[in-house]
Amino acid sequence: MLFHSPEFVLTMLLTLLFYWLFPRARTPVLAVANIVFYAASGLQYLLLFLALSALTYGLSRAIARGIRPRLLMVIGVVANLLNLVIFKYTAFAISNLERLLHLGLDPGVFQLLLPVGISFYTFQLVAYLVDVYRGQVPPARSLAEFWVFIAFFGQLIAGPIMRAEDFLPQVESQSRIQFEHREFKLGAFLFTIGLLKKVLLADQVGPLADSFFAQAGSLGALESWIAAYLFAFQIYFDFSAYSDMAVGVGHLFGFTLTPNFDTPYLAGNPSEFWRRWHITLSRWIRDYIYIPLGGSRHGEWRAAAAMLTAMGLSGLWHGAAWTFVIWGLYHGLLSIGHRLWRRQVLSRFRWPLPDRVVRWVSVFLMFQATAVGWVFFRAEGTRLALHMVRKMLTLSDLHFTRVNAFYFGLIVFLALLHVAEFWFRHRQAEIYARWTRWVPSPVRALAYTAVVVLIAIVSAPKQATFIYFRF
Amino acid sequence: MSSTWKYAVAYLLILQFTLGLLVPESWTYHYRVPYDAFKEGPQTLELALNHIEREIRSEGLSDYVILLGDSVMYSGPGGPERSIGYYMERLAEAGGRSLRVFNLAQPAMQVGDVYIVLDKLRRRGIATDRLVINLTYAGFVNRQDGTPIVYWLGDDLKQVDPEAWGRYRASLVSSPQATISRTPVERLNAGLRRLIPLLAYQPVLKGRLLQAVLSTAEVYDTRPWTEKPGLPELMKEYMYQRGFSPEPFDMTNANPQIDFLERILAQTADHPPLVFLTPTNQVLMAANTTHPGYQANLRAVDAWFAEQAVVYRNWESALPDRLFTDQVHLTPEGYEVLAGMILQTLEEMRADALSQP
Repeated sequence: MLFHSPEFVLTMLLTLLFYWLFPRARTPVLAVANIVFYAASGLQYLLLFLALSALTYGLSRAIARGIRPRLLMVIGVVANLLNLVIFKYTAFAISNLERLLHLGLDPGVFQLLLPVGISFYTFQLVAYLVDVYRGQVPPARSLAEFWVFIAFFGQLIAGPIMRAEDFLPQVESQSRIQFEHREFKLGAFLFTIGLLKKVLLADQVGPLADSFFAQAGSLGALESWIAAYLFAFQIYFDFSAYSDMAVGVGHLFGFTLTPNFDTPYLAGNPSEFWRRWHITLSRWIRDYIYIPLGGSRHGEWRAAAAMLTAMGLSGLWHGAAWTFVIWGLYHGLLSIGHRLWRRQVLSRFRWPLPDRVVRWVSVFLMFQATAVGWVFFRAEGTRLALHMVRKMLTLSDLHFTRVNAFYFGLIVFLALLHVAEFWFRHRQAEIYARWTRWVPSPVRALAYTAVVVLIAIVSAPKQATFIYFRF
Repeated sequence: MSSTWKYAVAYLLILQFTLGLLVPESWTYHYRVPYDAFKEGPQTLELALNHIEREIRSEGLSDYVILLGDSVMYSGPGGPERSIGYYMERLAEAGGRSLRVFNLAQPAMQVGDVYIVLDKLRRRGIATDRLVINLTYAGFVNRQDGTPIVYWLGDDLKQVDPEAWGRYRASLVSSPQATISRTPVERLNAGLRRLIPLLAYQPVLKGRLLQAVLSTAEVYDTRPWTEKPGLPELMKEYMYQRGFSPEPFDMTNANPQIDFLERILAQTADHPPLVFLTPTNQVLMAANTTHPGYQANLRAVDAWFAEQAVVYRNWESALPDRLFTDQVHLTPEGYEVLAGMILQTLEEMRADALSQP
């Protein structure tokens, strides 16, 4: 059930009604809502998810009671990861084995339909178990509350990946949440912004990017850059739209979910980029892979190895294909390169330019580097990705056409929108105060109605799914 | 609830009730139902039927013709004012008679869809005693793994004919081409799109909005087929060749085409419709149309219709190739000729009916 579908809006409105009318029944209301939303994607997947949740909950209770905690934690983590591996990576592993050993296996036979949100809920379940084992959070008090925490329909399918320390206490105290106009309005606002990003931007830019990538093998330098830029904006608007809507849904129920994006293309270096792009995944990778691998505590070489491993796994988490692994490793290399640059050059040298200029040049260069990375993420195979990147970096096959000029104009427009979003987010309260002070209620209502009508008209009956749903 | 929310809810409610009045009727029906809107949301057909029903009631129309069928009856690839319905009205007018023609055909519509549209008309009390249906040779071809017998309106079949639904449900649900709700969520989506006016009008409004924003006008390629390079090669592809298969037709009701034709003719027994076999480009498709198997199939279709309560015309080879834009679709001139043939046949049917005691 997609956020931008009428059936989602209807079901959410009914859930909201029951949630706010019956405060003491909030846990069962949300537990049932989660079941309904997930069941829409397939009953068998719901049963699997319920079983894994029950297992993880039971193990966490036993760990907290001190019953073989390390063993139970390992069992729980392995069970959850095994579920992810079986569904997501079996066909990938078989196809690679086949390529190496020629065993006569057909990878297609092992291609299973991926349960929606499996990558996200697996990471939440694993993080919860590890946190309980580390004693950072107490286990959930009841299975129902645990289910509401782990399967909250607002963020289940594509994050943010919520941590128990942030979200579980909110779930456990939800019967005491008071309805606040301000909170509710903020939720509706974020949900609407997300909808607008999805239907007006991501869904419109997507087919343009697709048309370029469909002919990746014959693209020249300019067309390859255009393809990379368009996809950069498509995936940002698509994924951040979902995240905005998820955070918005959270506010509608009085919850505060962790924001997942902070205008990431305005980052000036790789580490800043990962503090602004898919923030909850970056933190997960840092806390459960990078730091346990030693982080930066054991010298440069170990830090670089840990970084590459963490980013390679992050790439693999996105999809069972070498292009995703290369994308992850590429970002790992960017991070290592930046770390070296900072230590070896920036610590001894200062640019003879105003800070603001240096900042904007850094942002520009980082965006180019990010766009190159997106080619690996999006292209249908390593060969095509390398072809495009080669063209982009060597600037060969340059074709200056009016069509290319149009696309560059569009890309500049999208970039300005991104800057405008940054400006708006940082002045949100001030702008809202002026909007309510200067514009009378009937006119504001008319503007809101126009937005709702626009979304309803532009969104397609067969909605385009969110890119991150497939992960 | 703050006053802003109250105003917004009030505006939205007002919009729901007034949208039908605000949207010009020509956006939902103008000599035919706009295909772009219909394919995005088949509920657009209901909006067009509302319009047609209102027109019939308000103007007290009794002399009108209903056209049902596929892309040929829809008159693709030309525009609405180059369509069969348009030409029929103009020709009637030139003959000194006022005639209203309602064209509800859509590209890819199959006899299963025609059966459902017919039911919709009857439920609304719209007379179907002057009904024209076009059929293609391809419709009789074995549909195993091919075009579903109900292409667009699968969601309506259950209500229209539970027995047919029971018989064809599995094949429709498993056909990737069929427009049908396959899950409860999709059924809820389709239901809401019919129930809420803003969603019902969405495909029509979206088309107009995009046209306005992009300042584009529809482009119709009605060049004769001889001016389209590569067309003969294209026709050799399986998807086109399949529709001209010379394999013997199954003319029993085990063939869904025959089954639904029987269901249609049972509904129209009191006023037999005019059914014609769509003209085919005999030059472009010569290799197919001269095949003995193909010819035998045509004879089998003729023989089957000879036994039915229907006015049937086999116009498969009735038009010269210069009137075609491809294998079956016509140039504007071709549609004008076809409109004349339909009109003349309807006149003959009327004269026959009057001469009956």
